[in-house]
Amino acid sequence: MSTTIGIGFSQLPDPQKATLQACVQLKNSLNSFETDLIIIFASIEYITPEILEIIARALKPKRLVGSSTGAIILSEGVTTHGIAIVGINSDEIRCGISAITDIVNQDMHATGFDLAKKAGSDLNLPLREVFITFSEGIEKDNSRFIRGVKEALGGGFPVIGAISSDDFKYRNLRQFFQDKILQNSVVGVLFGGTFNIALDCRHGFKPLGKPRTITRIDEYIIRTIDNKPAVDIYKHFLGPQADQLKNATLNSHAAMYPLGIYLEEAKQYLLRNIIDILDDGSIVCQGGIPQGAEVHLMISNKDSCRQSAVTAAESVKTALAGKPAKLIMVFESLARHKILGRSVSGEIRAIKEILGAAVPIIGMCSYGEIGPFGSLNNIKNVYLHNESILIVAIA
Amino acid sequence: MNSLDSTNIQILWALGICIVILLCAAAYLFFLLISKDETIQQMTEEHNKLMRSFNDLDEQAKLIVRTDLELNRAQEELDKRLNGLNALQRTSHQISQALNESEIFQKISPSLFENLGFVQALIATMDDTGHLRARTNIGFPEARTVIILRTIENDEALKTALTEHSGFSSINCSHKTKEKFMETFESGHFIFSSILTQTGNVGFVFVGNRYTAAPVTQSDEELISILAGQIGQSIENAQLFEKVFRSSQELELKVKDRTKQLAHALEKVEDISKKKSEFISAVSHELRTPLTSIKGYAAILIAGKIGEVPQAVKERLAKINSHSDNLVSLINNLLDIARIESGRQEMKFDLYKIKNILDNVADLLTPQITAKDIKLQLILPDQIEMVFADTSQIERVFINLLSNAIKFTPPKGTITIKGAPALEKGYVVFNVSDTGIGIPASEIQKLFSEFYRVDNEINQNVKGTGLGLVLAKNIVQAHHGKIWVQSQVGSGTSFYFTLPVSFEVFENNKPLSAEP
Repeated sequence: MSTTIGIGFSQLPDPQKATLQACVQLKNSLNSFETDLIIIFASIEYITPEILEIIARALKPKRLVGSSTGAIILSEGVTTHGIAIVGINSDEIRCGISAITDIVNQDMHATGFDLAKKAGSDLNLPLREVFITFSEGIEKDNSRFIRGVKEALGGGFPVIGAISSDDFKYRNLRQFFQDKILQNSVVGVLFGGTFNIALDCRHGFKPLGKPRTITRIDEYIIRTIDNKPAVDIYKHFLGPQADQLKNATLNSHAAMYPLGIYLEEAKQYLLRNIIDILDDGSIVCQGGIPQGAEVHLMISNKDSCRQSAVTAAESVKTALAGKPAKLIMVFESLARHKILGRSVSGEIRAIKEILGAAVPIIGMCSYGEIGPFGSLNNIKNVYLHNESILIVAIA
Repeated sequence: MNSLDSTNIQILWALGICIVILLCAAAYLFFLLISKDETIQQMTEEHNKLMRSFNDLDEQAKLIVRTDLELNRAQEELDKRLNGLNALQRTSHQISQALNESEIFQKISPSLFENLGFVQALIATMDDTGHLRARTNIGFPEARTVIILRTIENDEALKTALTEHSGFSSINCSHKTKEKFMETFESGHFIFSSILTQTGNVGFVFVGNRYTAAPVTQSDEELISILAGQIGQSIENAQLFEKVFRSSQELELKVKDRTKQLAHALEKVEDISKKKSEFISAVSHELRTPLTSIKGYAAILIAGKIGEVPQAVKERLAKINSHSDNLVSLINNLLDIARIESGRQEMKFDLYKIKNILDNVADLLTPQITAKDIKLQLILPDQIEMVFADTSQIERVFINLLSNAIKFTPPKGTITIKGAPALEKGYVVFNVSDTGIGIPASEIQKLFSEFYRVDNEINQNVKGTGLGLVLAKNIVQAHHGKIWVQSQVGSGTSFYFTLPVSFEVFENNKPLSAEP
C-alpha cells in the first residue's frame, strides 16, 4: 500500500513553458508513467488551451480537475501568478470525478445531486471519504446545491470546496475537467479508499454594534435591513467611505468589514462579502442569505485572522491523532488577503509549523469556501463561507 | 317585626361586609395597578437604557471602525513601504552583480512586485532597431505583452508620454494619459518610470494593479523610481563590463596568438639548438679522432721513437701537443654541454656530503691557489650537510667557478665558498665569491652565453674557451637548481647556485618541459 503525492509549480512567463516545467518537477517526484489524479490551480494568464495538452502528454493523468485562482497557496507562501499541479498516485486513495456545465439556468439542487452521483459512479467504491468541488455560479443558491450533493452522498458526508477566482475581475473564472477548460461549471472529485481526512474551517471575525434584521432579500441581494436601504448599515459605520463599495468588487472596505449572518442552528456568524451596492441602496453579496436573519457588521485584524488559521490547523492536527499528513490542502478567501496583506504567507508558515514542515501544502485563494463551521464534527451543516480559511489534511 | 328587623339587620350586615370586601378588593386592585405601573415604568426605563446601550454600542462600533480604517491604512502603507524597501534592497544587490543585460532581468523575480504590492509589471527596453522589447513580464500573457508594446510604439500620445517624462502615475498624470494607460495595460492603478542611462531613455518600468486595489501612493512612485534607476545603473555597468570583457578577450586572443608564435619560435630555436648540439657532438667526435692521432704522432716524434728530431722541431712538436690538449679540452666541454642540453648525459644522482665535494675541489685547485697566495675560505654551517646531486658534475661546477675566481683574483686576494639554506624550501645555496676585478653590469647578462668571454686584460692574456660557465649553468639546471651572478667592478664577483637537498625536492621541482 503506497501513496505518492507531488507538486509542480512554475512562474515562467510563457504558460506552456511554465506548465512543462511544473510537469517535469511533478514527474520527477512521482516517478511514474501515469498519474491517478491531477489537480491544477492556475492564475488566469497561465490558462491557455495548450496547457492541458502538455499535462496530458507529460503526466498521462487518468483524472484531472482544477480551478482558476487569484492566488496559489504553496508551502513557501502565497503567490498571485503561476501554475501549480498536484499529482496523486495511490492504491489507498481512490477518486472519481464529475462535471456539470452551463449551470446558470439549472436547478442547483439537481446540479449538486447529479454532480455527486456522477462522481460516485466514477469512483465505484463503497468507501467514500470526502467530496471536493470547484465551481462558478453556485453562489446565489448554494444551500440548494449543497443539499443536492448531500442528498446523493448522505447528510453527514463531508462536502467541501472552493469557488473559482480570478484577478478580482469576475470574468475569467475557469474550471478544469479532463482535457477541457470550462466556464460557468462545477467540477467535483470524490475521494474514497483507506485513508484519513481531517478538516477545519474558520474566519476569525467578530460582530460589531447592535444586531439588525434583514427585512427584505432577493437570493443574494439584501434590499433592506431594519426596513431601511441595506447600504445604510455601511453608511452608518464607514461614513462617506461607504461610497467606495459601489462598483468596487471586493475592495478593501468590503473585505475588511463583511456582513455576519447569525445562524441559530450553528450558533455562528456566517460571513458574506459585499461585491456591489446598487442604486436603490441594496447590497449585492457573495452568496445567498436567509430572509429575517440577524445581521451584524463584522470586523477582524491580522492577528485574529492568523489565529483562526492557527486554531484550524491545531484542530486538524488533533483530529489526525498523530497520523502523519500526506498532503495539506488550503482553500482560503482571496478577500482575506486584503486584511492579511503581505503577511498572508506568514499564515501559511504558521500552518506549516503546526502540521509539519515536510508535508506539502497546496491550495487556492477563492471567492467562497464550502465547508462546515469548525471541524468534521459539524459536517452536517455545510455552508458557503466568505473570508474563511479551510484546511484539509489527507493522512 | 323583630324577625323582620333582624333579617334586615342581617341583610345590612351582609351588604356592609360585601361593601367592605369590595372596597378592600378595589383598594388592592388600586395598589396592584399602582405597583404594575411602577414595574412598567421600571421596565420601560430598563428598555430605554438597553436601547441607549445598543445605540451607544453602535456609536462605539462606529468609532472602532473608523479608527480601524485609519490604522489599517497606516499599517498597510507602512507594511508596503517596509516590504517594498526590503525586496528592493535585495533585488538591487542582485542586479548590481549582473554581468550582462539578460542577467539583470533574470534576477528581477515576480516576488519583488508582489512585495511592492503590484500584481502587474512590465519592464521593456529599446533594442538596436529602436523597438521595445519586453524583458520582465508579470501578470500579462505574452501575447498581450506584444500587443501592449506595439500599441505604445504606434500611439504617438503614449510614445510621447513615455519618452518625455521620467515618471508618472495614475494619481498625477493627465486624465487623457491615465485613460490611455488604463486601456492599454488594463490596470486600474499604475506607475510608470523611465529607465535612464547616460545615453538617455533606454526603456521603462511599468507596474499596475487591478481596479479594485487601493490607489498608488507617492511612496510607491518613489520605490519604482529607485528600481528604474537601479536597472539603468546596472545596464550601464553591464555594458561597461561587456566592453571591458570584450577588450580583455581581444587582448587574451592577441596574447594567445603571440604565445603561439613565441612557442613556435621557441620550438624552432630548440630544434636549431638540438641540431647545433648534435652537430657539435658529431663534429667534436670527428675532430677528436684525428686530434688523438695528431697528439700520438707528435708524442712519438718528441720521444724520438722514429729517430732524433732537432730541438727546434721538438719545440714546435711540444706546441702542437699543447694546442692539441687545449683543443681536446674545448671539444670535451662542447661535448658535455651538448650531452647535458640534449639530455643524453647520464647523471648519477645521489645524496652526497657537501664537505667531501668541497674538499676534493680544494685539493685539486690548491696548487693554483697557493701559487697566487690566495686565501680560500670555506663557510659551511652544520645544518648544510647533504645535497642530492651527481657529485662528479657538481665538482665540475665548483672547479669552473673557482678556476674563474683564481684567474681574476689578484695575488693575496680572498676566495670564499659559502653554503646556506636557500630561500626556496629544500634547497641549499652556494656562493663562490672573490675579491677580483669584477664584471661590468653590461656584461653580466651575456656571461652564460656560449663562447662569451668578458672583455678585460686578463682574458686577453689568459686562454679560455668561453664554455665553463655555460657548462656550469647546464649542470645546475640539470639538478633543477638556479645559477646567477652579482658583481661590482673593482670589488669582486659572487656566483650563486642552488642544489636540492633530497630526492623529493629534486622530483617536485622538475622544470615543466621535463614533465612527461
